[in-house]
Amino acid sequence: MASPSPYSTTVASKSTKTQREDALDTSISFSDLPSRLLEVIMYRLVLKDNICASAVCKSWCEAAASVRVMEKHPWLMCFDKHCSSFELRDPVRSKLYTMHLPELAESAVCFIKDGWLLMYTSSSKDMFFFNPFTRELVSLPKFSVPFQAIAFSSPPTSDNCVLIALDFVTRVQERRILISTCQPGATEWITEAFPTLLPFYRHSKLVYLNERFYCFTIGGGYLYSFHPSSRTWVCHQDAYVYHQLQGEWDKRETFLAERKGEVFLMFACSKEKPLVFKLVSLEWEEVTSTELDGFTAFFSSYNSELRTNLPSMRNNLCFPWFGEKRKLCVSYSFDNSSYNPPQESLNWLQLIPRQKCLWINPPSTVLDYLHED
Amino acid sequence: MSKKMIVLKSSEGVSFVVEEAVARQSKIISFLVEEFPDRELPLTNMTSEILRKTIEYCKKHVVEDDGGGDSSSSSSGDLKEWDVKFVAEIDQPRLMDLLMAANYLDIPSLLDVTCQKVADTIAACNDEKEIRATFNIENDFTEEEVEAIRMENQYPI
Repeated sequence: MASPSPYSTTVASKSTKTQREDALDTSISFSDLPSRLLEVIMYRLVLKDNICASAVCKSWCEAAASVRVMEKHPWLMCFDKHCSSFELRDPVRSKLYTMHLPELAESAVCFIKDGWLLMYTSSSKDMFFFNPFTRELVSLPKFSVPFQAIAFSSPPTSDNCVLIALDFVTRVQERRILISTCQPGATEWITEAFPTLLPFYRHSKLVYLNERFYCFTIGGGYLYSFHPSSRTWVCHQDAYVYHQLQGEWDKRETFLAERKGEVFLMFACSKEKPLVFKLVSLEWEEVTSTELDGFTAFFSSYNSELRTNLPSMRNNLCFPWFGEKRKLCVSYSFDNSSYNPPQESLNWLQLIPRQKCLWINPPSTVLDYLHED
Repeated sequence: MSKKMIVLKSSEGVSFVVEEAVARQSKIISFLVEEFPDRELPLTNMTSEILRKTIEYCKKHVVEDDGGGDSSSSSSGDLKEWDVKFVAEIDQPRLMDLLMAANYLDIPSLLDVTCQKVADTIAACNDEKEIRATFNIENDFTEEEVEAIRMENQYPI
Protein backbone atom coordinates (compact mmCIF):
# COMPACT_ATOMS: atom_id res chain seq x y z
CA MET A 1 0.00 0.00 0.00
CA ALA A 2 1.56 3.20 -1.15
CA SER A 3 -0.49 5.60 0.97
CA PRO A 4 0.51 6.14 4.61
CA SER A 5 -1.17 3.81 7.07
CA PRO A 6 -3.22 5.26 9.89
CA TYR A 7 -0.97 3.51 12.37
CA SER A 8 2.02 5.51 11.37
CA THR A 9 -0.11 8.64 11.86
CA THR A 10 -1.08 7.46 15.31
CA VAL A 11 2.50 6.67 16.23
CA ALA A 12 3.64 10.06 15.02
CA SER A 13 0.86 11.78 16.87
CA LYS A 14 1.74 9.94 20.07
CA SER A 15 5.23 11.30 20.07
CA THR A 16 3.80 14.77 19.41
CA LYS A 17 1.45 14.22 22.31
CA THR A 18 4.29 13.44 24.71
CA GLN A 19 6.10 16.58 23.67
CA ARG A 20 2.95 18.61 23.91
CA GLU A 21 2.11 17.30 27.35
CA ASP A 22 5.56 18.24 28.56
CA ALA A 23 5.06 21.60 27.00
CA LEU A 24 1.67 21.99 28.64
CA ASP A 25 3.25 21.61 32.07
CA THR A 26 5.61 24.47 31.44
CA SER A 27 2.93 26.43 29.52
CA ILE A 28 3.30 25.94 25.79
CA SER A 29 4.63 28.72 23.66
CA PHE A 30 3.94 30.11 20.24
CA SER A 31 7.68 29.95 19.63
CA ASP A 32 7.25 26.17 19.34
CA LEU A 33 4.97 26.36 16.30
CA PRO A 34 6.34 24.42 13.33
CA SER A 35 8.29 26.76 11.06
CA ARG A 36 5.90 26.09 8.19
CA LEU A 37 2.99 27.48 10.23
CA LEU A 38 5.04 30.40 11.53
CA GLU A 39 5.84 31.29 7.93
CA VAL A 40 2.13 31.23 7.01
CA ILE A 41 1.48 33.67 9.85
CA MET A 42 4.46 35.94 9.12
CA TYR A 43 3.50 36.09 5.46
CA ARG A 44 0.27 37.83 6.46
CA LEU A 45 2.03 40.67 8.27
CA VAL A 46 2.89 43.98 6.70
CA LEU A 47 6.61 44.73 6.59
CA LYS A 48 6.69 46.81 9.77
CA ASP A 49 4.99 44.09 11.80
CA ASN A 50 7.13 41.42 10.17
CA ILE A 51 10.28 43.16 11.37
CA CYS A 52 8.78 43.69 14.80
CA ALA A 53 7.89 39.97 15.01
CA SER A 54 11.41 39.01 13.96
CA ALA A 55 12.75 40.61 17.18
CA VAL A 56 10.53 38.38 19.37
CA CYS A 57 12.60 35.18 19.42
CA LYS A 58 14.93 33.16 17.23
CA SER A 59 12.34 30.85 15.68
CA TRP A 60 10.11 33.80 14.79
CA CYS A 61 13.08 35.70 13.41
CA GLU A 62 13.91 32.89 11.05
CA ALA A 63 10.30 32.53 9.86
CA ALA A 64 9.82 36.29 9.46
CA ALA A 65 13.05 36.71 7.50
CA SER A 66 12.25 33.80 5.21
CA VAL A 67 9.02 35.37 3.97
CA ARG A 68 10.30 38.94 3.85
CA VAL A 69 10.57 39.92 0.23
CA MET A 70 13.74 41.74 -0.65
CA GLU A 71 13.42 43.72 -3.82
CA LYS A 72 16.00 45.29 -6.03
CA HIS A 73 16.10 48.99 -6.69
CA PRO A 74 16.13 50.29 -10.24
CA TRP A 75 19.15 52.14 -11.63
CA LEU A 76 19.06 55.57 -13.18
CA MET A 77 19.86 55.70 -16.85
CA CYS A 78 20.69 59.05 -18.46
CA PHE A 79 21.43 59.58 -22.11
CA ASP A 80 22.60 62.30 -24.44
CA LYS A 81 20.59 63.95 -27.14
CA HIS A 82 21.33 61.34 -29.74
CA CYS A 83 20.97 58.36 -27.44
CA SER A 84 24.29 56.76 -28.30
CA SER A 85 26.00 57.34 -24.99
CA PHE A 86 24.29 56.19 -21.80
CA GLU A 87 25.21 56.78 -18.18
CA LEU A 88 24.02 54.22 -15.73
CA ARG A 89 24.00 54.93 -12.01
CA ASP A 90 23.30 52.68 -9.08
CA PRO A 91 21.49 55.05 -6.69
CA VAL A 92 22.56 53.10 -3.60
CA ARG A 93 26.19 52.35 -4.32
CA SER A 94 26.65 55.67 -6.14
CA LYS A 95 28.66 54.05 -8.90
CA LEU A 96 28.64 55.37 -12.40
CA TYR A 97 28.95 53.32 -15.56
CA THR A 98 28.81 54.29 -19.21
CA MET A 99 27.49 52.39 -22.20
CA HIS A 100 27.93 53.16 -25.87
CA LEU A 101 25.04 52.05 -28.01
CA PRO A 102 25.70 53.32 -31.55
CA GLU A 103 22.62 51.47 -32.86
CA LEU A 104 20.47 54.07 -31.06
CA ALA A 105 22.27 57.12 -32.43
CA GLU A 106 19.44 58.40 -34.62
CA SER A 107 16.52 57.59 -32.36
CA ALA A 108 14.83 58.80 -29.18
CA VAL A 109 13.60 56.91 -26.14
CA CYS A 110 9.78 56.92 -25.91
CA PHE A 111 9.04 54.49 -23.09
CA ILE A 112 10.71 51.97 -20.82
CA LYS A 113 9.37 48.88 -19.11
CA ASP A 114 10.80 45.61 -17.80
CA GLY A 115 14.29 46.54 -19.01
CA TRP A 116 13.15 47.22 -22.61
CA LEU A 117 13.37 50.62 -24.25
CA LEU A 118 10.86 51.68 -26.88
CA MET A 119 12.74 53.76 -29.47
CA TYR A 120 11.49 56.04 -32.24
CA THR A 121 13.32 57.55 -35.17
CA SER A 122 11.26 60.54 -36.28
CA SER A 123 12.99 60.96 -39.66
CA SER A 124 12.32 57.40 -40.84
CA LYS A 125 9.20 56.79 -38.64
CA ASP A 126 10.86 53.60 -37.42
CA MET A 127 9.82 52.25 -34.06
CA PHE A 128 11.55 49.39 -32.28
CA PHE A 129 12.22 47.75 -28.94
CA PHE A 130 15.76 47.66 -27.65
CA ASN A 131 17.29 45.90 -24.68
CA PRO A 132 20.31 48.03 -23.69
CA PHE A 133 22.02 45.17 -21.86
CA THR A 134 21.64 42.26 -24.25
CA ARG A 135 21.37 44.66 -27.23
CA GLU A 136 18.47 42.65 -28.67
CA LEU A 137 16.33 44.60 -31.12
CA VAL A 138 12.68 43.89 -31.98
CA SER A 139 11.29 45.81 -34.94
CA LEU A 140 7.80 47.24 -35.28
CA PRO A 141 5.88 48.58 -38.27
CA LYS A 142 6.62 52.20 -39.21
CA PHE A 143 4.45 54.67 -37.27
CA SER A 144 3.56 58.03 -38.75
CA VAL A 145 0.71 59.28 -36.51
CA PRO A 146 1.78 61.97 -34.03
CA PHE A 147 1.63 60.90 -30.38
CA GLN A 148 2.01 62.46 -26.95
CA ALA A 149 1.89 59.31 -24.88
CA ILE A 150 3.00 55.80 -25.70
CA ALA A 151 3.37 52.58 -23.76
CA PHE A 152 3.53 48.81 -24.00
CA SER A 153 2.03 46.17 -21.75
CA SER A 154 4.79 43.59 -21.38
CA PRO A 155 8.21 42.77 -22.85
CA PRO A 156 8.23 42.29 -26.65
CA THR A 157 9.39 38.73 -26.10
CA SER A 158 6.10 37.83 -24.37
CA ASP A 159 3.04 36.64 -26.30
CA ASN A 160 0.69 39.33 -25.05
CA CYS A 161 2.72 42.44 -25.70
CA VAL A 162 0.49 45.32 -26.87
CA LEU A 163 1.54 48.87 -27.67
CA ILE A 164 -0.67 51.93 -27.57
CA ALA A 165 0.03 55.48 -28.66
CA LEU A 166 -2.24 58.41 -27.80
CA ASP A 167 -2.69 61.62 -29.72
CA PHE A 168 -4.75 64.17 -27.78
CA VAL A 169 -6.50 66.48 -30.22
CA THR A 170 -7.65 69.49 -28.22
CA ARG A 171 -8.63 72.10 -30.78
CA VAL A 172 -11.68 74.09 -29.67
CA GLN A 173 -13.82 72.89 -32.53
CA GLU A 174 -12.62 69.33 -32.20
CA ARG A 175 -11.83 67.42 -29.05
CA ARG A 176 -10.94 63.80 -29.51
CA ILE A 177 -8.29 61.27 -28.91
CA LEU A 178 -6.57 59.13 -31.52
CA ILE A 179 -5.54 55.76 -30.19
CA SER A 180 -3.16 53.60 -32.21
CA THR A 181 -2.36 50.03 -31.29
CA CYS A 182 0.16 47.50 -32.50
CA GLN A 183 1.83 44.24 -31.51
CA PRO A 184 5.30 42.86 -32.25
CA GLY A 185 5.04 40.85 -35.45
CA ALA A 186 2.09 42.89 -36.79
CA THR A 187 2.38 44.49 -40.19
CA GLU A 188 0.73 47.81 -39.34
CA TRP A 189 -0.66 50.06 -36.62
CA ILE A 190 -4.42 50.40 -36.19
CA THR A 191 -5.63 53.92 -35.43
CA GLU A 192 -9.06 54.84 -34.18
CA ALA A 193 -10.59 58.13 -32.97
CA PHE A 194 -12.55 58.37 -29.72
CA PRO A 195 -14.64 61.40 -28.80
CA THR A 196 -13.92 63.05 -25.50
CA LEU A 197 -15.60 65.94 -23.74
CA LEU A 198 -12.92 67.14 -21.42
CA PRO A 199 -9.84 69.10 -22.32
CA PHE A 200 -6.41 67.68 -21.65
CA TYR A 201 -3.88 70.18 -20.35
CA ARG A 202 -1.25 67.71 -19.33
CA HIS A 203 -1.27 64.03 -18.70
CA SER A 204 0.65 61.40 -16.78
CA LYS A 205 2.62 58.59 -18.33
CA LEU A 206 0.60 55.53 -19.25
CA VAL A 207 0.44 52.66 -16.81
CA TYR A 208 -0.64 49.13 -17.71
CA LEU A 209 -2.61 47.06 -15.22
CA ASN A 210 -5.17 44.26 -15.52
CA GLU A 211 -5.35 44.49 -19.31
CA ARG A 212 -5.94 48.24 -19.27
CA PHE A 213 -3.72 51.22 -19.93
CA TYR A 214 -4.38 54.06 -17.49
CA CYS A 215 -3.70 57.74 -17.99
CA PHE A 216 -4.29 60.56 -15.50
CA THR A 217 -5.00 63.97 -16.99
CA ILE A 218 -3.97 67.11 -15.22
CA GLY A 219 -6.34 70.03 -15.29
CA GLY A 220 -9.42 67.91 -15.60
CA GLY A 221 -8.06 65.57 -12.98
CA TYR A 222 -9.68 62.51 -14.48
CA LEU A 223 -8.44 59.01 -14.88
CA TYR A 224 -8.89 57.43 -18.30
CA SER A 225 -8.33 53.88 -19.38
CA PHE A 226 -8.09 51.96 -22.61
CA HIS A 227 -8.83 48.26 -22.94
CA PRO A 228 -6.94 47.03 -26.04
CA SER A 229 -8.78 43.77 -26.73
CA SER A 230 -12.25 45.38 -26.72
CA ARG A 231 -10.88 48.73 -27.94
CA THR A 232 -12.80 50.77 -25.38
CA TRP A 233 -11.75 54.11 -23.96
CA VAL A 234 -13.33 54.93 -20.60
CA CYS A 235 -13.30 58.05 -18.46
CA HIS A 236 -13.44 57.11 -14.77
CA GLN A 237 -15.03 60.30 -13.51
CA ASP A 238 -15.36 58.90 -10.02
CA ALA A 239 -11.64 58.85 -9.65
CA TYR A 240 -11.57 62.65 -9.38
CA VAL A 241 -8.85 63.77 -7.00
CA TYR A 242 -8.27 67.49 -7.34
CA HIS A 243 -10.84 68.47 -4.77
CA GLN A 244 -8.57 66.77 -2.26
CA LEU A 245 -5.66 68.98 -3.21
CA GLN A 246 -5.09 72.59 -2.37
CA GLY A 247 -2.66 75.21 -3.56
CA GLU A 248 -0.93 75.44 -6.85
CA TRP A 249 -1.77 72.24 -8.64
CA ASP A 250 -0.07 73.41 -11.79
CA LYS A 251 3.26 73.59 -9.95
CA ARG A 252 3.06 69.99 -8.95
CA GLU A 253 4.56 67.10 -10.78
CA THR A 254 2.16 64.19 -11.20
CA PHE A 255 3.13 60.55 -11.34
CA LEU A 256 1.02 57.52 -12.02
CA ALA A 257 2.44 54.12 -11.13
CA GLU A 258 1.34 50.55 -10.74
CA ARG A 259 2.39 47.95 -8.26
CA LYS A 260 1.07 44.45 -7.57
CA GLY A 261 -2.36 45.14 -9.02
CA GLU A 262 -2.78 48.62 -7.53
CA VAL A 263 -2.60 52.05 -9.15
CA PHE A 264 -0.90 54.88 -7.28
CA LEU A 265 -1.02 58.58 -8.04
CA MET A 266 1.62 60.84 -6.56
CA PHE A 267 2.06 64.59 -6.47
CA ALA A 268 5.34 66.24 -5.65
CA CYS A 269 6.08 69.92 -5.16
CA SER A 270 9.15 71.49 -3.61
CA LYS A 271 7.00 73.66 -1.37
CA GLU A 272 4.94 70.97 0.27
CA LYS A 273 4.92 67.40 1.40
CA PRO A 274 4.43 64.95 -1.49
CA LEU A 275 1.04 63.24 -1.57
CA VAL A 276 0.34 59.63 -2.42
CA PHE A 277 -3.07 58.32 -3.44
CA LYS A 278 -4.17 54.78 -4.13
CA LEU A 279 -7.02 53.78 -6.39
CA VAL A 280 -9.60 51.89 -4.31
CA SER A 281 -12.83 50.90 -6.11
CA LEU A 282 -12.28 53.73 -8.57
CA GLU A 283 -11.78 56.39 -5.91
CA TRP A 284 -8.48 57.95 -4.90
CA GLU A 285 -7.69 57.36 -1.25
CA GLU A 286 -4.80 59.19 0.33
CA VAL A 287 -2.09 56.90 1.64
CA THR A 288 -0.78 58.33 4.92
CA SER A 289 2.90 58.17 5.90
CA THR A 290 2.23 55.32 8.31
CA GLU A 291 0.40 53.29 5.68
CA LEU A 292 3.27 53.38 3.21
CA ASP A 293 4.83 50.27 4.76
CA GLY A 294 8.32 50.51 3.38
CA PHE A 295 7.28 51.88 0.00
CA THR A 296 9.86 53.54 -2.28
CA ALA A 297 8.85 55.36 -5.45
CA PHE A 298 11.30 56.27 -8.22
CA PHE A 299 10.15 59.04 -10.52
CA SER A 300 11.21 60.00 -13.99
CA SER A 301 9.58 61.59 -16.98
CA TYR A 302 9.47 58.18 -18.70
CA ASN A 303 8.38 55.89 -15.94
CA SER A 304 7.76 55.56 -12.23
CA GLU A 305 8.82 52.44 -10.42
CA LEU A 306 7.53 51.33 -7.02
CA ARG A 307 9.28 48.99 -4.60
CA THR A 308 8.87 47.88 -1.01
CA ASN A 309 11.38 46.98 1.64
CA LEU A 310 14.50 48.49 0.11
CA PRO A 311 16.96 48.78 2.98
CA SER A 312 17.80 52.43 3.73
CA MET A 313 15.23 53.70 1.22
CA ARG A 314 11.95 52.78 2.88
CA ASN A 315 9.13 55.33 2.80
CA ASN A 316 11.05 57.46 0.33
CA LEU A 317 10.31 59.16 -2.95
CA CYS A 318 13.34 59.33 -5.24
CA PHE A 319 13.85 61.85 -8.02
CA PRO A 320 16.17 61.43 -10.99
CA TRP A 321 18.63 64.05 -9.79
CA PHE A 322 21.69 63.54 -7.72
CA GLY A 323 22.38 65.69 -4.68
CA GLU A 324 25.54 67.40 -3.65
CA LYS A 325 28.65 65.71 -4.91
CA ARG A 326 26.26 63.60 -6.95
CA LYS A 327 26.35 60.76 -4.46
CA LEU A 328 22.71 59.94 -3.84
CA CYS A 329 19.58 60.88 -5.68
CA VAL A 330 17.33 63.66 -4.43
CA SER A 331 14.69 62.10 -2.23
CA TYR A 332 11.88 62.82 0.17
CA SER A 333 11.65 60.78 3.34
CA PHE A 334 8.18 60.38 4.82
CA ASP A 335 9.72 59.17 8.09
CA ASN A 336 11.72 62.37 8.56
CA SER A 337 9.22 64.59 6.68
CA SER A 338 12.09 66.16 4.79
CA TYR A 339 13.89 66.27 1.52
CA ASN A 340 17.47 65.10 1.18
CA PRO A 341 19.31 67.33 0.43
CA PRO A 342 17.24 69.80 2.50
CA GLN A 343 14.45 71.69 0.82
CA GLU A 344 16.28 75.04 1.00
CA SER A 345 19.03 73.82 -1.25
CA LEU A 346 16.62 72.33 -3.74
CA ASN A 347 15.13 74.20 -6.57
CA TRP A 348 11.85 73.42 -8.15
CA LEU A 349 13.59 72.08 -11.21
CA GLN A 350 15.07 69.21 -9.30
CA LEU A 351 11.64 67.81 -8.59
CA ILE A 352 10.50 68.06 -12.15
CA PRO A 353 11.99 64.96 -13.64
CA ARG A 354 14.63 66.04 -16.05
CA GLN A 355 14.48 64.87 -19.58
CA LYS A 356 16.63 62.05 -20.88
CA CYS A 357 16.62 60.11 -17.63
CA LEU A 358 14.74 56.99 -16.66
CA TRP A 359 14.73 54.17 -14.14
CA ILE A 360 15.68 50.76 -15.42
CA ASN A 361 15.79 47.35 -13.73
CA PRO A 362 19.28 46.03 -14.30
CA PRO A 363 19.52 42.31 -15.03
CA SER A 364 21.30 40.22 -12.40
CA THR A 365 24.26 39.98 -14.74
CA VAL A 366 24.41 43.75 -15.25
CA LEU A 367 28.11 44.04 -14.41
CA ASP A 368 28.98 41.73 -17.29
CA TYR A 369 27.66 44.39 -19.66
CA LEU A 370 29.32 47.40 -18.07
CA HIS A 371 32.63 48.98 -17.24
CA GLU A 372 32.96 51.46 -14.43
CA ASP A 373 33.92 55.02 -15.24
CA MET B 1 -32.28 8.33 4.76
CA SER B 2 -30.10 8.36 7.84
CA LYS B 3 -26.80 10.10 7.59
CA LYS B 4 -23.65 8.10 8.03
CA MET B 5 -22.03 8.79 11.37
CA ILE B 6 -18.45 8.25 12.46
CA VAL B 7 -16.80 8.19 15.88
CA LEU B 8 -13.81 10.35 16.82
CA LYS B 9 -12.04 9.75 20.10
CA SER B 10 -10.15 12.47 21.98
CA SER B 11 -6.91 12.04 23.96
CA GLU B 12 -8.96 11.59 27.15
CA GLY B 13 -10.82 8.73 25.47
CA VAL B 14 -14.08 10.64 25.04
CA SER B 15 -16.00 9.58 21.92
CA PHE B 16 -17.66 12.10 19.64
CA VAL B 17 -20.25 10.90 17.16
CA VAL B 18 -20.13 13.12 14.09
CA GLU B 19 -21.82 13.12 10.71
CA GLU B 20 -19.38 11.88 8.15
CA ALA B 21 -19.87 14.93 5.93
CA VAL B 22 -18.90 17.18 8.86
CA ALA B 23 -15.76 15.20 9.69
CA ARG B 24 -14.71 14.88 6.07
CA GLN B 25 -13.69 18.53 6.01
CA SER B 26 -10.54 17.19 7.56
CA LYS B 27 -8.52 15.69 4.75
CA ILE B 28 -6.87 13.29 7.20
CA ILE B 29 -10.23 12.03 8.51
CA SER B 30 -11.51 11.75 4.95
CA PHE B 31 -8.58 9.50 4.17
CA LEU B 32 -8.96 7.44 7.34
CA VAL B 33 -12.71 6.98 6.82
CA GLU B 34 -12.09 5.53 3.41
CA GLU B 35 -9.38 3.19 4.58
CA PHE B 36 -11.17 2.08 7.77
CA PRO B 37 -14.89 2.69 7.23
CA ASP B 38 -16.21 1.11 10.41
CA ARG B 39 -13.66 2.02 12.99
CA GLU B 40 -13.47 4.55 15.75
CA LEU B 41 -10.75 7.08 14.90
CA PRO B 42 -8.42 7.87 17.79
CA LEU B 43 -7.12 11.46 17.78
CA THR B 44 -4.60 10.97 20.51
CA ASN B 45 -3.11 14.43 20.39
CA MET B 46 -6.37 16.36 20.70
CA THR B 47 -8.09 17.11 23.97
CA SER B 48 -11.88 16.83 24.19
CA GLU B 49 -12.12 20.58 24.47
CA ILE B 50 -10.22 21.22 21.26
CA LEU B 51 -11.92 18.38 19.42
CA ARG B 52 -15.30 19.80 20.45
CA LYS B 53 -14.29 23.24 19.14
CA THR B 54 -13.03 21.74 15.89
CA ILE B 55 -16.26 19.82 15.38
CA GLU B 56 -18.26 22.98 16.13
CA TYR B 57 -16.33 24.74 13.37
CA CYS B 58 -16.78 21.86 10.90
CA LYS B 59 -20.50 21.62 11.59
CA LYS B 60 -20.93 25.28 10.73
CA HIS B 61 -18.86 24.94 7.58
CA VAL B 62 -20.27 21.71 6.21
CA VAL B 63 -21.68 22.09 2.72
CA GLU B 64 -24.54 19.70 2.21
CA ASP B 65 -24.38 18.26 -1.25
CA ASP B 66 -27.75 16.51 -1.34
CA GLY B 67 -29.33 18.97 -3.71
CA GLY B 68 -31.48 21.28 -1.59
CA GLY B 69 -29.92 24.72 -1.60
CA ASP B 70 -31.50 25.54 1.73
CA SER B 71 -29.72 22.82 3.64
CA SER B 72 -26.60 24.92 3.81
CA SER B 73 -28.28 27.75 5.64
CA SER B 74 -25.35 30.16 6.00
CA SER B 75 -24.46 32.65 3.31
CA SER B 76 -20.77 33.36 2.87
CA GLY B 77 -21.15 36.76 4.59
CA ASP B 78 -22.81 35.21 7.63
CA LEU B 79 -20.18 32.54 7.70
CA LYS B 80 -17.37 35.09 7.74
CA GLU B 81 -19.03 36.91 10.60
CA TRP B 82 -19.45 33.64 12.43
CA ASP B 83 -15.74 32.83 11.89
CA VAL B 84 -14.71 36.20 13.30
CA LYS B 85 -16.81 35.57 16.41
CA PHE B 86 -15.57 32.02 16.67
CA VAL B 87 -11.88 32.97 16.77
CA ALA B 88 -12.52 36.09 18.88
CA GLU B 89 -13.88 33.93 21.69
CA ILE B 90 -10.79 31.75 21.82
CA ASP B 91 -8.06 32.65 24.29
CA GLN B 92 -4.38 32.57 23.39
CA PRO B 93 -3.38 29.02 24.56
CA ARG B 94 -6.54 27.49 23.01
CA LEU B 95 -5.84 29.36 19.79
CA MET B 96 -2.47 27.65 19.59
CA ASP B 97 -4.11 24.24 20.19
CA LEU B 98 -6.79 24.90 17.62
CA LEU B 99 -4.22 26.04 15.07
CA MET B 100 -2.24 22.85 15.67
CA ALA B 101 -5.43 20.80 15.40
CA ALA B 102 -6.33 22.45 12.09
CA ASN B 103 -2.83 21.72 10.87
CA TYR B 104 -2.84 18.12 12.08
CA LEU B 105 -6.31 17.30 10.77
CA ASP B 106 -5.63 19.27 7.60
CA ILE B 107 -8.66 21.60 7.61
CA PRO B 108 -7.48 24.49 5.40
CA SER B 109 -10.22 27.00 6.24
CA LEU B 110 -9.78 26.55 10.00
CA LEU B 111 -6.02 26.86 9.60
CA ASP B 112 -6.63 30.05 7.65
CA VAL B 113 -8.80 31.74 10.28
CA THR B 114 -6.57 30.71 13.18
CA CYS B 115 -3.37 31.89 11.43
CA GLN B 116 -5.10 35.16 10.57
CA LYS B 117 -6.10 35.63 14.21
CA VAL B 118 -2.46 35.17 15.28
CA ALA B 119 -1.32 37.62 12.58
CA ASP B 120 -3.95 40.17 13.65
CA THR B 121 -2.90 39.82 17.28
CA ILE B 122 0.76 40.40 16.33
CA ALA B 123 -0.21 43.44 14.26
CA ALA B 124 -2.13 44.89 17.21
CA CYS B 125 0.99 44.89 19.41
CA ASN B 126 3.18 47.98 19.66
CA ASP B 127 6.56 46.29 19.97
CA GLU B 128 8.29 42.95 20.30
CA LYS B 129 7.98 43.09 24.13
CA GLU B 130 4.22 43.31 23.90
CA ILE B 131 4.15 40.40 21.44
CA ARG B 132 6.24 38.27 23.82
CA ALA B 133 3.92 39.10 26.72
CA THR B 134 0.80 38.42 24.65
CA PHE B 135 1.95 35.06 23.38
CA ASN B 136 3.97 34.11 26.45
CA ILE B 137 7.19 33.72 24.49
CA GLU B 138 10.57 33.71 26.14
CA ASN B 139 13.14 36.10 24.71
CA ASP B 140 16.06 33.97 23.56
CA PHE B 141 17.91 36.96 22.08
CA THR B 142 20.58 39.00 23.78
CA GLU B 143 20.10 42.76 23.82
CA GLU B 144 22.87 43.02 21.20
CA GLU B 145 21.05 40.62 18.89
CA VAL B 146 17.80 42.62 19.06
CA GLU B 147 19.85 45.73 18.36
CA ALA B 148 21.42 43.97 15.38
CA ILE B 149 17.95 43.14 13.97
CA ARG B 150 17.02 46.79 14.39
CA MET B 151 20.17 47.97 12.66
CA GLU B 152 19.98 45.43 9.89
CA ASN B 153 16.45 46.40 9.02
CA GLN B 154 16.84 50.11 9.65
CA TYR B 155 13.30 50.27 10.80
CA PRO B 156 12.08 51.86 14.00
CA ILE B 157 10.89 48.86 16.00
